[in-house]
Amino acid sequence: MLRYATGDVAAFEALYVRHKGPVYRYMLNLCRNEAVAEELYQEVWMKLIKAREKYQVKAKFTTYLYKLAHNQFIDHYRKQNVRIVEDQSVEIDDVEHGQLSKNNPEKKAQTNQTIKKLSGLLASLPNEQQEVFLLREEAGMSVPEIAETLSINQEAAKSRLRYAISKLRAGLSVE
Amino acid sequence: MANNDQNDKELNDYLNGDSDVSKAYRASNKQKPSSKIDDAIFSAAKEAVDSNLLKEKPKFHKAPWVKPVSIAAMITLSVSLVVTIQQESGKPLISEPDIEMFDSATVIEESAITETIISSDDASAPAPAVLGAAEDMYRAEEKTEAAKARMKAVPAKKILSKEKAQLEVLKESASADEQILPSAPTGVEFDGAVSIKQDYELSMKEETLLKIKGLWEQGEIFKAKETYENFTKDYPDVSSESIKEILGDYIYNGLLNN
Repeated sequence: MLRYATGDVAAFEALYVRHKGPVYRYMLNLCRNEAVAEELYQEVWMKLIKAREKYQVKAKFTTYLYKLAHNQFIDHYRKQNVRIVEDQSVEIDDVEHGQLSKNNPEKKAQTNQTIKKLSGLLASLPNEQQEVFLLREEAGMSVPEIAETLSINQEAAKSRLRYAISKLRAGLSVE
Repeated sequence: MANNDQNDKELNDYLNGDSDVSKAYRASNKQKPSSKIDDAIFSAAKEAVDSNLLKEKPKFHKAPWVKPVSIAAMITLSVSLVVTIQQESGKPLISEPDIEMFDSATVIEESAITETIISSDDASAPAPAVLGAAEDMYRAEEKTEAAKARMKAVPAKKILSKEKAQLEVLKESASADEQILPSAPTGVEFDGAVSIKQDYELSMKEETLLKIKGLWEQGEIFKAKETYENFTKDYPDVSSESIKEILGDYIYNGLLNN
């Protein structure tokens, strides 16, 4: 990014190629609308291009990039007056959790079915849980990095991720 | 409690990469942005760099030293222009209040000198007529020296107006003398007012001629000639011999010929 700030376009291209897929999928999974996701995705990169001269190395570039993406997503939904589903993890019934989290190894073989199921499960997660999961899966972030990107404390990030994994696993295990 | 422990275990497994959820997610999510979007972003990135380079070009022309140097050059030119104009017109560079201060100070000084001369004349017996010329010469020299000393004491910026200032001082002094002298003894043998006036005129003539000589020697022929013309108008009674004595034959002839 620093090289791009000095006018090295090839450096930007290298960054883009490395991050384009994960950022796009992050946006697509959050938005669940391809057109909106594409628009927000482009906005993220345009903001990055504009911010090149002011960019300072304070954290990992990945954290910086996903912060931009997260803010873009939040801003979009605020403008659209769409209520983002709040994190209800703490209210989830422990009993229900226990039933859903039963593991069934036989499901591993049914790949196609699993993929479809996972997609649906991911969409049903609260946005906060989706986001931590996507940051982990797409950006490969650790819990502290997720916390920094979303400007939340590490315990909250860990809790959201725990519930997301638990729900997804439980959902996948149900026939 | 057991559920929480199990959730923690699931999370740890997941974070360690040992999770069916991760595998299933990676298998299902392989979408990428279209090449159209890629091209749009690449061209935006390139345009941003290019426009930045275009913006930087004028910055090169507007180097940080250009502005101060321009201001310095402008000030230098302005000052030199003002000085030249004032020198040409003969007006002093110092402001009116400065001249007034200078004049009043020198007038006081001059008056004191005049009073001293008069009082010393009063104290002594009326001077014999034969001493008149010698005394006149002596006083003229004395006054010239005093005037020069005063001029040296004047700050550098006031030197430019020394001629005017000196003229004013001496005129003031002469007029003051004229006011004082009627009450002074007016012997036939020695007239103080006439003597001082003569001293003043003599010193002025000498000063002017010395100035002309100086201008000539500095190569300011035109100025020297101009000053000389003014001098001959102001003092038509001065003989060419007296002028030659101060200027020298060469300069005198040069002034007439040029």
